[in-house]
Amino acid sequence: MRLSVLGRGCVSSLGREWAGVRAALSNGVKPELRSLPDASDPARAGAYPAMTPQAPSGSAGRLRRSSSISYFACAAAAEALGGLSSEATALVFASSNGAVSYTRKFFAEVMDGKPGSPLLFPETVYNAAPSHVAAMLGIDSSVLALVGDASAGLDALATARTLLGSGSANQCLVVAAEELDWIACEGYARWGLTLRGTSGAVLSEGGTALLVGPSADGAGILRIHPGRTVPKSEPAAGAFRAVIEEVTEGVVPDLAVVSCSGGRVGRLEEAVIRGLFPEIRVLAPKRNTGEAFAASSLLQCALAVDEVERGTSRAALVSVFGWNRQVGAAVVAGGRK
Amino acid sequence: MSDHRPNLRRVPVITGVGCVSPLGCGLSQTRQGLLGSRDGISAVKLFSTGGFLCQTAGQVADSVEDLALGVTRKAARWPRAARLLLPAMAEALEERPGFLPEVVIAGTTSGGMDFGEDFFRGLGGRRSGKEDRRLVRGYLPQQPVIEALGVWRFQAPVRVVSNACASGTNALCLAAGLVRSGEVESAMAIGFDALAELVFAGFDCLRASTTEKCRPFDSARSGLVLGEGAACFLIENAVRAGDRGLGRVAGWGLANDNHHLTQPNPSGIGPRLAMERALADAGWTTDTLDYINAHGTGTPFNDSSEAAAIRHVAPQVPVSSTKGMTGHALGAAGAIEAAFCLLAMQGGFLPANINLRESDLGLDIVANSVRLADCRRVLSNSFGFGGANASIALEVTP
Repeated sequence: MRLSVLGRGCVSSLGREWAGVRAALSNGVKPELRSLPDASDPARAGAYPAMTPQAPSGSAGRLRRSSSISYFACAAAAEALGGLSSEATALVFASSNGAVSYTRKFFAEVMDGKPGSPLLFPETVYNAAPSHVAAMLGIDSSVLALVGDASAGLDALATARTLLGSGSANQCLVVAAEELDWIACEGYARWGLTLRGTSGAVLSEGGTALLVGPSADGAGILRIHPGRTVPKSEPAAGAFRAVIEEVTEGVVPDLAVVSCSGGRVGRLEEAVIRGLFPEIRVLAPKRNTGEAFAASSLLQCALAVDEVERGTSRAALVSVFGWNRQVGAAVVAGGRK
Repeated sequence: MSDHRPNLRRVPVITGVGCVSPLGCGLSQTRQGLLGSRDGISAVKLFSTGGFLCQTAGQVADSVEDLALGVTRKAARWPRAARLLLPAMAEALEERPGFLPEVVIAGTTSGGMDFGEDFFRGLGGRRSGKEDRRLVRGYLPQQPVIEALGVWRFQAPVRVVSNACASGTNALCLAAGLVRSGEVESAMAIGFDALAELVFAGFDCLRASTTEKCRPFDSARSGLVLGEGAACFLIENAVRAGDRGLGRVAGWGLANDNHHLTQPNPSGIGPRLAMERALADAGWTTDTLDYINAHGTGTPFNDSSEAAAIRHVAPQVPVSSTKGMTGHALGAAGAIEAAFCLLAMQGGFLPANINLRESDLGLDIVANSVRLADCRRVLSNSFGFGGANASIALEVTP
């Protein structure tokens, strides 16, 4: 089944809504690197915080005590749904680190010998953010939360396709969100993935949402590769190349929106794609927005759809090489003329 | 004349199962535990419970460590959740040599949480960069699954569902859904979670945990005890499965209850919709349903809400919660309990709802010891924070 993108929403380091983020990306805007508060090592806590979104109407009660990931998810979802009805709508959410700031605060309380706040703990579960989205929009059917590296954004789209194919929903909100906390910066820095000198990613946050439904004219997300785990024992380039070759079979994309966020893996990703399609134009939005994992990979999809809709691309490849060596890809194309 | 025979390429059949729980490591021990209605709850050994009200949990036997290390010595450096998952995966795959999953769907709430806790505790100390990398990477929920799959050199993509306590059942539903849609011919579904101090503290501070025994559906129930474990299912379409079927996923239902982040709607509307949708999806009527494995956490709110739903949907059907024996294994619970259901159908018994003294909820509860019964069609319920409700319909392979 091809998926038509019926609506988009986005909160990121570059803007509070999709149009602003899109314009900033077109203009090559880069946010200011900021050190997150309370970090145990400020040198490792440089990041691109998101702009604060407007709280969508109907969200106030549930979001009163939630952490920022839920605000990002709700704002992006509300924008993507726009004025459309949420009836017969499924919701698939994706994240990498969930409500990491509340998780860190809650565990710090426990480590200090305190009982732990009953207000914090429920918000630490990975599906807290989508439950707030569902409550805000009145979604009562399938609500699923996925967790993974950046590839989870594409997994969420694939899951939406399965739900739509089963007939359990007429449309599906696919939402991905991430929040920053110094503990995440510290962790990924010690893992060796974030910015050191001129190489490595800058962590970021925000939310991206796509409202998708079955495509009537074939325009939209043409294919979603089921993905692959690349074992540490296997050369990454070969495995990644195989995925790209499979997803583009019979299609020659003229645009690639890649997941490269500044590190070694991203350079490999771009090199493989350029090797397969020498004439291809490459966009790497994370170089501007920063690395927000699944939220970033959905933003890649939104950007690819936008390029196809504007007629600046006939067929666009979206590729993701996640930090847990999960690889995914999708192809976006125009409709049957 | 229309042809009503099912398309066998779209029928999800279970061809392998592995299970690790406080009732035992492996299906044989688990069956014995169920038949003996064994109480698998004991004092917590994994961390100090000094500051907590609750002092007990359902813990997997220490022998699971030997089983994991028997599969690969590398497991010694993995999170506990991966060491629970590995023997379950090995057992499932042993039943079906040559199985190659096209996709792996895993349900968990906390993945490698013990590694996250260790990373946090050691932040100020001296630790090698290699150790830091191991802890950070292992903490991420998908990594325990990726590590375990690496033993068999599987390269299938891993999709992790983290829908609170419904995660394990959601994983089964999604894996079966991918087979039924024809997107894949084979899938692995997993539920796994290990006992973790952060999560233990969370349920304790919410006063959801009990200081005495967990008594699902009892009039004097006072809360849950946590548990841990893992279960692994190999699911294939009926053509590939041939005559290897251990059971069939007949249908499922999901519903979201927007009442409150941690409390179910007292009317039971979420569980009710999930069960009704599962029955409709399976094409069953309640008079052919033999058993309901309830979510039955033993908390006042959950059990009254679920009981209201069962009274509405299938009041005559025998019900039990097995969490009195195992504790609540959170993201693993749905998968473990689906394995219990398969054992019950194979063995012709209904698992017991232990620690029951008196119930005023109007259900036919399988109280305190197993009930021998021809059991061919069951529903297994899982509900969680965020209003996540899932019910799966399982049946013996015709």
